[in-house]
Amino acid sequence: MMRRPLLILPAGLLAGLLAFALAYWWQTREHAHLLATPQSELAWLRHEFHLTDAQFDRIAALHADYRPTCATLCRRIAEQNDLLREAVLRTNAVTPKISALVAETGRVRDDCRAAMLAHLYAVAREMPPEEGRRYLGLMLTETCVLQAGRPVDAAHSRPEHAHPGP
Amino acid sequence: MPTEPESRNPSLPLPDARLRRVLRSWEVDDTAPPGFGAAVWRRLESARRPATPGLGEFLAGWLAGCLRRPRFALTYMALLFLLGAGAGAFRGQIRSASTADGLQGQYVQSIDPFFAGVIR
Repeated sequence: MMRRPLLILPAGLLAGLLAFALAYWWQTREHAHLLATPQSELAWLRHEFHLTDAQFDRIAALHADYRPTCATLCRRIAEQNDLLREAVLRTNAVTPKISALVAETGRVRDDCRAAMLAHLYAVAREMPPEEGRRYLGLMLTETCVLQAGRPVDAAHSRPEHAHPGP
Repeated sequence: MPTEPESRNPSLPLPDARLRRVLRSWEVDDTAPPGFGAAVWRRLESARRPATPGLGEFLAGWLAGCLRRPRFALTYMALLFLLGAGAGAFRGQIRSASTADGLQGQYVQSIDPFFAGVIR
């Protein structure tokens, strides 16, 4: 072999490519597996917060219970927005009706935030204490619970996917 | 040198005395031009010397020579393997972080009605 430099040269390149592929696969295998899971977002939660099977099952049940609530809140927000948009475009000043609609929109949003916060607490309680705190901290940054405190650039950096709800 | 007509027999004496005199007086100047000998030697030397290799040829020869040495060949293979592994791990880490971000976004989407784009 050592007498064949023309073979060693491409063999070295091949070894490098093979090492690249192996290292890449090793590094991405866990997340690739998560992506292939049916409920990949919950699989991510399990992986990220090191949940046991029992903890994961309880959190998955909480998640399933919360989804209809989330869908209802989504619908209420959308309906309220439509009403407000229609009323705003019909006139050129803030009428009592618009004021009432703005207040109602705010109430719906507050309901939504409160329901979500309750869900976040419920999920955090099922986690080990340290992981629960980390979960709450992350979700407060990423969700609308702390709307006013969310940095604008962070909000804009979110991926734009369709909501899986209704 | 002047030649005789083809019809004439070369064994016969030349008929013309004047022609014979001219031929006797004819001398060839065989002295070489100055520097002729040195120029010939220079050409011989340059023909004997091998042509200077180009940079690519030189590098290929050097690399082939190095790769014939087992220690160098092993070092070369190990280096490329390590470089490949390092680059793969680095690229994989970036990819993995990006996937984790995407999955986190999916989870947030699934619990946050505001994330759905209802409120813009």
